[in-house]
Amino acid sequence: MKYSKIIYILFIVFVSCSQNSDEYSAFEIKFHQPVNFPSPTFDLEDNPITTEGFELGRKLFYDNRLSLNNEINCGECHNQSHAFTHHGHDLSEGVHPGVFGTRNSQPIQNMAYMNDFTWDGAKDKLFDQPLIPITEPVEMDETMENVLVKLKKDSEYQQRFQSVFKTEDAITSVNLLKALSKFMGAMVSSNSKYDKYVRGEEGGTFTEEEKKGLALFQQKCATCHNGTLFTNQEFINNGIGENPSLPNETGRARISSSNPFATVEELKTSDDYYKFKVPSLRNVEKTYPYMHDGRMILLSTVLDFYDTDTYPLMTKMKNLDERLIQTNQKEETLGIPMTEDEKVAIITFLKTLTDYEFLNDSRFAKPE
Amino acid sequence: MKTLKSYILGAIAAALLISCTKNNESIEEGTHVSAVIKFYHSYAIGDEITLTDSNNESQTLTLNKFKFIISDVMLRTTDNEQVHLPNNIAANLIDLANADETNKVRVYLTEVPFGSYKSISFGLGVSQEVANGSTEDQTRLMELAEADMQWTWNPNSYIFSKIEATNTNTETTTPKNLIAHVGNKGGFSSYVTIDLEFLETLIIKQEISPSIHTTVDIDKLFTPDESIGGAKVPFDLLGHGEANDAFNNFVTNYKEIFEIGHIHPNEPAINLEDVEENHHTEETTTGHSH
Ligand code: HEC
Ligand code: HEC
Repeated sequence: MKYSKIIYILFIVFVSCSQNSDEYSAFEIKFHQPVNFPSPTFDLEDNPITTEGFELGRKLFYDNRLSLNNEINCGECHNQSHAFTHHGHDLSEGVHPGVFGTRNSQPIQNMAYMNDFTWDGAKDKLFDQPLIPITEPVEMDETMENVLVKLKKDSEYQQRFQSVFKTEDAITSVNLLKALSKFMGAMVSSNSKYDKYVRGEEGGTFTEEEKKGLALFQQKCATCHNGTLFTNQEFINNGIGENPSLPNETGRARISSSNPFATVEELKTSDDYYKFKVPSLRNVEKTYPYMHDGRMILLSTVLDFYDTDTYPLMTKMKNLDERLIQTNQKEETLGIPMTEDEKVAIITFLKTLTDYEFLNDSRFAKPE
Repeated sequence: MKTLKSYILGAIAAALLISCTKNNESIEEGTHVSAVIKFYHSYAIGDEITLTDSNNESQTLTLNKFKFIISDVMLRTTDNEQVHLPNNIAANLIDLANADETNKVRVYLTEVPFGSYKSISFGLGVSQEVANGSTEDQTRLMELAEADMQWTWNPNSYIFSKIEATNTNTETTTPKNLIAHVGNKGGFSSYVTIDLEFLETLIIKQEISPSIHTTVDIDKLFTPDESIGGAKVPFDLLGHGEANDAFNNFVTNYKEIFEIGHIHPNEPAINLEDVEENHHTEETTTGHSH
């Protein structure tokens, strides 16, 4: 027993030796906690983030073998230059040409701080979120079983999994998911101009307009897009209104229903109908188009939507959030009162949330 | 120098290879099956089953699917000690589609400490504690779930049990079918624990692989023994609307469908590897689930 343990350790050494010779990592990853951030929700004890684990997760993230017929990888819809969203796409095509999903691709950033994942909170752990894209017919339409078969055929994966997870037969669904989480969990965007302003660092000097925008934002938007993450992580109906071309969309209602077979008609009566997770606004300049279905292309359209008068207008469902209803002498106005100048200032502020260090961080890019 | 180094590494690799084959050999000696639970179901897939609907009318349906996950298996010794079997060894999917001609599905328990036992308990499904706990400890559960027992899009992705049956009445345009997929969904918790006393002491030792005869009475999900607290379930109320009384009762009734019969105490010892080989050829995997 002891003997085989020693051999096993030698084996690990051997594997890591041979790996280093053909692929030397020029960086070290460990979970970095920015001073102005809350404590992470990511379970670092269950799934520690190491350089080697991060690199394995990155390899998987950019590997087409996670999809049916090896057509696409996660990076297809999560593109770094656009904060890991699907640049310019309202909805995304999966492996089947012409077949689109029903939601706008979300940025993969600061996942380690979130309580819920996807627009409706279908997941409450980052760990098993990738089950959705891998198996959904409109995304990668593959089975976990097939993915594992494909990966097991690759001796490099065999070595890397074994070396990260320190067991034999390490290519399992759980370890595949853990590796993806190690990569995504380390993707923290915390070096925008705004962060530097807050931390009093170099490069963090705000213009008057930016300061004005920040103050207005705090007053008008931070009731929902609050804190360092720019989201209170609640599920809210923000008056977005039904999209006639996506009649099966029910928002959070699908998740909070106890019935897996609930019909759209049934879910329409739910208090969670058309509620979506308040998105983080970090890198928002780059994550267009906007909203769960990507229906708004410009930030100025978003601000026109939020104000009380300019088109597009808000839709009042019975669960429209009351923070978006102003009552004046029993007269209801929907939206947040803002002048044109104020809207411009808010957009100027939103652009300080762009984190170029994150968008250009070569550690997150597909290795050549 | 370089060649010398790689020569040494080569030697280590060779040593490793040798030790690997050695290891495998010892594994090939086999994993002793401590005990076998034989689940005898009251129906086979394809059988007709008579159920009562919400109008108190009898309907005949064809059973298409019946399966459930068990986890957190625990045995109690005659000295009242609890022996918990890890889910990476003892969690199982019992699928009627894999039953033999006597409607029997076997579950093989391994690595149970030698001794004498008086009862067994297991969870039907996966507890929230396990689902939110160590991911490594869910390695086996997750693989079991991938075969048609997973809501990928639900916070708790495990489907605990499924039953589906099609109404044989083809005259009506809206036949009442039976469909119930049970799990922790939308704040409704469905995990139940089953406790079963053995009728005689179960002895676990090296020379034998005793088997435990257990019946699974599917009718009792709908018509349980009301004298001990079960409540009738009109089958057509399942799968509609939010979790209602019918669904609640249905989930609770799972506690009543199992009954332990005799033990075959002296069955000759078997190896897991031998039985799993046969098992794999029977296995069918299905695709997406809802
Ligand atoms: C076909 C496009 C597509 C592919 C491929 C894809 N995604 Fe996504 N991703 C999306 C969309 C769309 C959403 C929003 C989903 C929703 O709300 O239903 C999303 C959401 C997510 C989220 C949740 C982010 C949040 O803020 O909650 C994560 C994490 C994620 N994807 C990871 C992955 C990983 C890992 C892969 C590869 C295994 C992947 N995605 C592949 C389109 C895609
Ligand atoms: C009552 C809560 C609430 C308030 C107040 C609020 N928002 Fe939102 N916001 C949301 C929700 C919920 C969504 C997602 C809705 C959807 O996708 O359908 C959202 C979406 C957005 C998006 C789209 C982001 C993306 O990635 O698609 C932007 C931009 C945005 N809000 C900016 C603002 C600004 C600027 C303000 C202040 C003028 C503001 N919001 C006020 C709740 C709110």
